[in-house]
Amino acid sequence: MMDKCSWSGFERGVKLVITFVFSHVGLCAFVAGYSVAGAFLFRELEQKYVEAHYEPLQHRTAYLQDFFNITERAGQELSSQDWREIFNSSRWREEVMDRLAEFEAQLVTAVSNQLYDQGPDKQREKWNVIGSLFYCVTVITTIGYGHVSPRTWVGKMMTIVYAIIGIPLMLLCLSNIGDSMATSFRFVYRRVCCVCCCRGQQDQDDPGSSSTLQTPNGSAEPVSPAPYTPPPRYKPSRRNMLISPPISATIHRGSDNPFEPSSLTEPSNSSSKTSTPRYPRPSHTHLTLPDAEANRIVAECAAYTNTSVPGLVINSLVGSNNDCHDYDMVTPNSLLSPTMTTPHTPDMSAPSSPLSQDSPSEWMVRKENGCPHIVIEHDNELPPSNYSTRTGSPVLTASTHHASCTSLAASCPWPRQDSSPFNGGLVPYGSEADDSCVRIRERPPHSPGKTLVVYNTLSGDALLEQSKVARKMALMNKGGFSQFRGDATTVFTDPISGQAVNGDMLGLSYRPIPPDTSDADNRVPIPIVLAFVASYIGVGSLLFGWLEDWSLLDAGYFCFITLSTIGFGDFVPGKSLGYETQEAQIKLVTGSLYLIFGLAVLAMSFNLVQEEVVIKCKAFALWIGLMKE
Amino acid sequence: MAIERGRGSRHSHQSHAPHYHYVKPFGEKLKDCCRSTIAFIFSNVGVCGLMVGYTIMGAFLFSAIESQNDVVITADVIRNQTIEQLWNITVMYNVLDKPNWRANVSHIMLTYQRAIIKLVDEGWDGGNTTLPNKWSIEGGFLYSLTVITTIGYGHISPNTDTGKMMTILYTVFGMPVFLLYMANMGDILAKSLKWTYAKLCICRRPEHKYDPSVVWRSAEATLRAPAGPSNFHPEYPQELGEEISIDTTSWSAGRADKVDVSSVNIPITVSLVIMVALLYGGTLLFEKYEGWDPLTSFYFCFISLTTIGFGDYVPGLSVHPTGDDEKGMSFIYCSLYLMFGLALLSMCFNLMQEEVVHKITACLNAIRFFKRRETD
Repeated sequence: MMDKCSWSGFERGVKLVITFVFSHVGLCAFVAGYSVAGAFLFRELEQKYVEAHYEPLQHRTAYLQDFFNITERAGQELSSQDWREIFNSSRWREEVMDRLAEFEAQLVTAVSNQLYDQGPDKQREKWNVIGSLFYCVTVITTIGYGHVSPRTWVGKMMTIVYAIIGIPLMLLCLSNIGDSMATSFRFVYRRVCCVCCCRGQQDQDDPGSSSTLQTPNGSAEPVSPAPYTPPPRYKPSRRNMLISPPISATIHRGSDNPFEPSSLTEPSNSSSKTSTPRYPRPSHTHLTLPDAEANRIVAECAAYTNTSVPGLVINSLVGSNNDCHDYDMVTPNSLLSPTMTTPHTPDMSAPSSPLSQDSPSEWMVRKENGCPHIVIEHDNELPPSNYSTRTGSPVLTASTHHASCTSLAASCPWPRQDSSPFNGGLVPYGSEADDSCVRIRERPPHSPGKTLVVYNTLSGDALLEQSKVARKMALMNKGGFSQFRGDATTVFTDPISGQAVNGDMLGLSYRPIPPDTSDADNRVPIPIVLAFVASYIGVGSLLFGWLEDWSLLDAGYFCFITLSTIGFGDFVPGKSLGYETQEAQIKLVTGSLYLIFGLAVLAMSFNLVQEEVVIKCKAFALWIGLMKE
Repeated sequence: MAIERGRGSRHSHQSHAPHYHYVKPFGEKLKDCCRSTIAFIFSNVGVCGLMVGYTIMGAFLFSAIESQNDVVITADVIRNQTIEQLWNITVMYNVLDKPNWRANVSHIMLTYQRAIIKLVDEGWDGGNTTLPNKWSIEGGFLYSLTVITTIGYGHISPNTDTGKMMTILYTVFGMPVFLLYMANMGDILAKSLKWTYAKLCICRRPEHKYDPSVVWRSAEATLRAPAGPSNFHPEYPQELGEEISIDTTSWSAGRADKVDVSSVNIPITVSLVIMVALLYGGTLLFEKYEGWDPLTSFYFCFISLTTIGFGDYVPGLSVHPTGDDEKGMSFIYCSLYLMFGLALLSMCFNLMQEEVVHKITACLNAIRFFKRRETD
């Protein structure tokens, strides 16, 4: 028993560390810290050792001596005659011209090889903190302008070591940022499209979403948990939503769903739906899970949140729950049986506030196209009087998903649990998780909505493990143990108000393994992405054209060469000012910010375009007969 | 994968084409033509040819665009002016008046040096009689290569507006070509390496139990057996070991019959050794042909192969006693080294990635297995 405890504690610690390191914030902070550390390191190295290793340009004195020798020799050879006549001859000119040309060639080589930089003082000025930081950024992004490069062998060795560690780190960070940016870009694109295409529908729905909440119906809400099954006539619409393959398309804010909270007590007619919307619309979240095991996870999670979801109804249409494992808390068949209230977990249900019990919700599991879809519907409960209008609305979460994996987060808003103490109303708070772990955290119940985010990229086995971990975490977190950290791996936004969702939310997220079941019409067309990148380069060329007095073509050329990580170094921000003035340093900072953000934009656009290009190429290959099936 | 299929269907197409040739409408013929062309382009030879051809095209293009350079005249003017000034000083002072003469000449030389440096900073690359033209065909070849590999030494960069626009266009089309080349060459190299490794190390000693890849593979296979945990007798780790070794022998015995090249796992150490050998070979090469010291050569190879490309050291630019031919040759050496080295590097990364994923999966499975038994 002791062994087990220490094992799980150790595991939890390791997972905490790993999760934080690989979360976006952790990774970005690590890269930033790495760059700054590198900046100080290279500054130290180059400033300290540049004197010893610097070979000052001695050519000029040497050639000066040469000229004198030529002149003197000519004078000595013909000392008897008037030396002016001799110098008038073309021989002196030719010799001096040759020497000068040699000198010039050496000079050109020295300058173009960056070996000449006006002496150690100049070199030291180049390696100030900002300059070194810019150098480090250009190294780990593999741009490598070469406007400054290490002169000392220590610096060279350190550059190699620094690059070996830094380049993979930067790649990881960029791909992470690109993923989340791609997700948000897709989301924004979809919203924009929605606004453009279904404006009429939106207008119809508008009063529902903009109306202030009116409390009087609170008494109408069932105080005791009441299992509720929606009227059958609404099912087709839900099924339509289920069929639509893309992930974000399956996140509905309920505005296009006729189902309304008022129908909790009475099946509503259509007139009451549109005329007197008094509650926020219910939110629907559809999860795609690979097999029956996943369903059990949902059920288990539901069991954890039972405290605040007392009226949980699981409506199951899945018939394939055949393999059940021994450690399941509740057997799946019983859990997922139609309209069965999930059992309360006694030790968790105790402190829940009465208000939260007013919230009926419905979990539906359906099987379509071979994989079950789980519909979680949380009908909007009655908000308390101190509850402002917008925060009580159904919140949805958009979470990260990219080409091959999608994740969903379902959320349901809950009334404010002001009556409960800090750790009284146990709210399992969905937390960030890396691909192999789940943590549930408790948050102070000051905000509506609950989310439990379960990430998974592994098979059903892993999912089971995750559920076990989740259960452990839930039990551990029960006793007032609170962790609070910004969730970095998921992007929570309220699609209606555009605000970040700030609340305890219940949700599930899952990344399906087959990539082509995701994002069918969620893809962003290639021209839009290209236009986005082009506009980024255009903005950059305007910026640098204004900042550096380059011509527009030069500035655009600089942006392109930078963002493609070619990095010739013929144009570098601040180069004309010699890197040591404050203005040059501002330019350097601007430049490094531009290039880091630009690389993230590029990663995002690659992410967006990749799938599309692959599909197009496949279609072309199929059409032309290169590929069968 | 698609490439494989593509090649397969190309052969089939060639064998079937004559039968239907006269029946086909024009569109079909065009399609067939396209198909065979694309299939060839995506074959290994085609990709290499495309890459080299594209680079050579770039070499001619850029040397044609950039070779006319009017800045040379300015440099010549400056040099002639300096000569005139020197002559005037010499005439003005007596030769024996050494300090004065030196002071004046030194001042003039400094002015001259500043003028030249300014010219070089403005983009003059010394393209006159004393230095070889950097925008020769070889120089253009190296330039094109550094552009599409995104190394970008910057030792030469386009000065004209046309050159800049062409660089951008050239990169847009060239980078996908190069990535295709990298993927394709990496694939071929990985396959041949796996084949060699299988021949050398695995077939020779099929009873070898402690080959890490074999053990991991079999451990994973055992743990992933569909029968699941119930097949194991729990709480005896030794027994697990036995099972693994039993599995190993049967597995390797099965392998010995038919060498499945794609399932061979190259250990990470082998990949690392190959990478180090690549760097070391480059070090020796550039040490010999460029006369750099070992550290500089190593630094150059590293900076090049990571595509950082500072450009503080570029082959063929050091002032050589040898003639222009030698310089052209060092451009060629460098280009070949880069093309081959980057492909080899991508192969190593692929192999390492495969192996790391493999090991992590096996590790996770093992941990899961032990934990499950613990729970039971």
